[in-house]
Amino acid sequence: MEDQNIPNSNEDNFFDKIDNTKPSVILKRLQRSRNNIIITGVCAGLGEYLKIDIAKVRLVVLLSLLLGGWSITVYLIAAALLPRESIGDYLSENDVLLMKKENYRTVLSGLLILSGLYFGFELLGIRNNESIFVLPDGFIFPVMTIAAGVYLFSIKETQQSIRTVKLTQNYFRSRKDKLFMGVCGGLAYYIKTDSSLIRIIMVILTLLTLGLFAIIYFVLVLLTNYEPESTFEFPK
Amino acid sequence: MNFRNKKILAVCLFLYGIILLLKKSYLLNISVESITGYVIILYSLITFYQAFKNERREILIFVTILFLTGVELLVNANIDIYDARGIVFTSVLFVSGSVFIVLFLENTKEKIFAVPGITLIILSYLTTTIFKKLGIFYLTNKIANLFGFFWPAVLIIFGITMFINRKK
Repeated sequence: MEDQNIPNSNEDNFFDKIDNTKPSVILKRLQRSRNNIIITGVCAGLGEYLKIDIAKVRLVVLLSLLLGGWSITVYLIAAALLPRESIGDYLSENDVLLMKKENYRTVLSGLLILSGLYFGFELLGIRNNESIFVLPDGFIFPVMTIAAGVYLFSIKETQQSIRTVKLTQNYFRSRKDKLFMGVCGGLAYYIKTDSSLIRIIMVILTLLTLGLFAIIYFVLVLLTNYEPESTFEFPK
Repeated sequence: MNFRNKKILAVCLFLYGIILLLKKSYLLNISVESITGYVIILYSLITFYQAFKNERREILIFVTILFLTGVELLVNANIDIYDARGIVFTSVLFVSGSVFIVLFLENTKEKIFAVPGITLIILSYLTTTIFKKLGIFYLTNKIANLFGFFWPAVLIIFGITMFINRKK
């Protein structure tokens, strides 16, 4: 008699019924990214949703500032309204560092293009100082600054923010990351920053100082050695 | 940027916003340049201490440049400078010299940074004295004029190059 009460088929099993209710297609949601963040993860979320290269989305958002600065408002509204991705992809510490480096590189390149276009337009007389980055009455900028301050203050400490990389004690010219004599690559490794940035700064400074900075470059070439071949590893 | 630096930046931004709002509301009579200068100096001094303690060379460099920019903003706000382009040449040399000196102070074992540091600071002093007499400013002004016209294009080219060469 007891055996008759036990359900035999799968349909009678309560847990199987729950399992059958799972949708076969995962719905795509527009949400802020959890892993790929520079400010709030809106651009990464949009890129993932539209299946576009995230770097391109970031570049477009930066360049849209030229249209009057309204994209900042749209961005802030999106950041406030969009939910954050519930479960992010698992990324190792190295992946996170690499991604961060590339993200800042994208932002830097975007800022360079943006400033170039802005000052180019100004030189050509297409735009003037008043009509770009529209901030009426001069009140929006202070308010945004306060908002940025409050936002930064509200960020909680994470393990990722604590750097564990030990700094190198000696400065060498780089063998792997070099275009000419490896001074900039070595400096970038010593300071733990991007070598392209150091190169750009070096070129601009050389131009601005009538080539005096080139002398400094060659002083560094003369006084420093290349890194020892076996021990040097460029950080990923 | 670590957690503590974020907090310092947050406080400075908050203060900056509040002071700007007070200025816009005519409650404070101080120029925007001065406010920016003071806030930048405050931020850079605190961050410099933090970065020095935590061996953050990239932040040390950034903050050194920022501090001197803040000083320049304050000077600009309070003193009329006739030859604005001339000061750029001197400032570039002085700021880059200071950066090398800071790198040397952070790691005194690397005496190599002291050489360009001292050289650049001496050169920056010379630009205001001997170089001026030699007429080098005439050349720098010419180059500055050229650079002033073409630098947006230089920026765009650098930006595009960086964007194209990014790792996908």
